[in-house]
Amino acid sequence: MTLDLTIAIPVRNDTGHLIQLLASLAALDLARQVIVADDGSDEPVAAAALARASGFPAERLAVLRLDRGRGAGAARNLALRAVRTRHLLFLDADDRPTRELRSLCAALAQAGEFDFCIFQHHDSRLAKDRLFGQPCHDQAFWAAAGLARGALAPVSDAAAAQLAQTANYPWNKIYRTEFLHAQGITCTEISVHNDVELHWMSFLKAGRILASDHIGVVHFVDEAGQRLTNRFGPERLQVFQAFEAVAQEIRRAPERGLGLPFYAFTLGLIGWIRDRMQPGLHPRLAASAAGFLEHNRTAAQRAELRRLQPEAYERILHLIAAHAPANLPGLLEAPAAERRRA
Amino acid sequence: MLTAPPLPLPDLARFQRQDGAGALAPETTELAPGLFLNADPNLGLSGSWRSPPGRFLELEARATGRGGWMALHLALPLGGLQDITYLGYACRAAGPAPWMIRPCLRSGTVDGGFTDTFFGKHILATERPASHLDALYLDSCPELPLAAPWREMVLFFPCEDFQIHLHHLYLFAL
Repeated sequence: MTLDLTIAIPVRNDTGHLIQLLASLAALDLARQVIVADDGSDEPVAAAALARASGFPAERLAVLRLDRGRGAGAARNLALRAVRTRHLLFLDADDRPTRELRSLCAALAQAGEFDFCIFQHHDSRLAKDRLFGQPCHDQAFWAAAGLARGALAPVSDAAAAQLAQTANYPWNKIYRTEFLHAQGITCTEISVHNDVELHWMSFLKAGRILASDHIGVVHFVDEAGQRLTNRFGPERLQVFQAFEAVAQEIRRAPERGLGLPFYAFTLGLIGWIRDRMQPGLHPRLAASAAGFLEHNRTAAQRAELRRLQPEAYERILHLIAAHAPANLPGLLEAPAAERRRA
Repeated sequence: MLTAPPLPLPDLARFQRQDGAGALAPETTELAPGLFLNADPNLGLSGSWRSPPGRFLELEARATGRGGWMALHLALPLGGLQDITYLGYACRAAGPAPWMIRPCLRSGTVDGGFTDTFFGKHILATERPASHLDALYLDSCPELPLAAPWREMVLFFPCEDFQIHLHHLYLFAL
C-alpha cells in the first residue's frame, strides 16, 4: 500500500536545486504527482526540460506559473488548488527528502484517516556540530509534547499546544488534501512568514493529528544567501497579517486551547524579527506589535501572557517603550479588577 | 573489498517492514521467527514492544525485581566462519535517557552451552537518535569457534526500567 501523495514545490530562479530535488524524488519514488509552482522566475520553468534533467517522469510532473513574483505563499496556494491526490506535502526547492520519509509514507498509508502528520527534520546548521535532527528550539517542544521519540503516534490537544509552537515548516507536514480544501486553509500571500497561517490554522482546525520522529526532510538554511527568508526590510511587518488571521480563528474557537501558545509564539517571533530587522523600522514594528496585542488580547489575557512568558513579554514592552511609547500604558498594567481575575 | 553480500535475513527484513506490537512476557517474548526477547524471570519484566512499518523495534520495559539479563536474540544463519573476515552490525538507536546496549555474537557449543564474543563498542541510546557501527575482526577473536551448532546476535539491554528505540538493525559479514 502506498500513500497517494502530491509534492508541491514553490520555486523562483532556483532550477538547479529543483532538478536535484526532483532527481531525489524520482529515486525514492515518493509521489504520484509533483506540482512545481513557478513564482515568476525570470526564465520560466519548463516541465519537459525539468523532467529530462532530473529523470522525474514527465507524465507525473506539472508546472504552474505566476506571471510575477508574489512570494512562496501565493505559489503554494496556486499548487494547492491544483492538487488532486489524497495527500499533500509542501517542499522547498532546496529541501532533500530522506529514506525515512519513504518509510513514513509507507506507515501513513496504513494509519487510517488523519488530517495531517507532522514529522521531524534535519536542519543543515546542525551539521557543524555533527548532529542530525531538529534545532534545539523545535526539539524542546517535541520533548514537551512527549513525542520526541516514536515512529507514529496520535497528537493529543495538550501535545498539539506544544508542537504548534515549533518554528520551522511547512515542509514537515503531510496533509490530507481535502482537510485543507474543506477548511479553507491556505498560506498568507505575503513575502515572508507566508506559512505561519497555514501552520496554526492546521492545528486549530484539525481533528486527527499524527506525529512521527522520522527525520523526513533535510532543510537547508543559508543565512547569508539572497533568498526572501534572509530579508529583514519592511516586508517583515506583513507577519501581522498572518497573525491577525490566526487571532480571528482563535477568537472563533477558543476551546482548542491554542490561544496562549499562539501569543507566546508571536512574542517570540516579534522578538526574533526585531533582532534582525533594520533598526530604522523598529518604530513601525513596535507600533504594530502594540496594536496587535492590545486589539486581540484583553488586559487579563495580556497579564496571563506576561506571567507565563515574562522574558519574551518584557522584550516586547522594551521595544514598545523605546519606539512607540504612546502605546505602552495599555499594555503595561492590567486594570486591578482584571488583574485579580487573571 | 566486499567478498560476501550482507547477511540474508529475510525474517529480519520482513519484521522491519511490518507493523507489529505486543506485551513483554516475563521470560520469552517471540517477535518473529528467529527473533525474540529473553529475560531473567527474576526481573519480573513487563512492558510493551512495537515494530512500526519501516522501523525495527521500540521497547518500553519495566522491571520489578533484580535479574541478570534482558536481551534481544537474533538467530544467524551462519555456517562456518572460516571464510568470513568481519562480522558486524549497523544500527540506529534513541532513548529518553542514555541507556547502554551491549552486543555480542553467541555461539552454541556441542555440550549444549554457548560462548559469547562481545563487540568492542557498546551502543549508547541517547536522546537524539545516533548511528552505531561495529564489527568483529574474526582473526582477533581466537575464542570464537569456527564451527558451531547455532549462532545468535544478542543485544543486552539494561536490567531495569528503560525505553529504547532501535530504528534500524542490519547485520553484515565480509
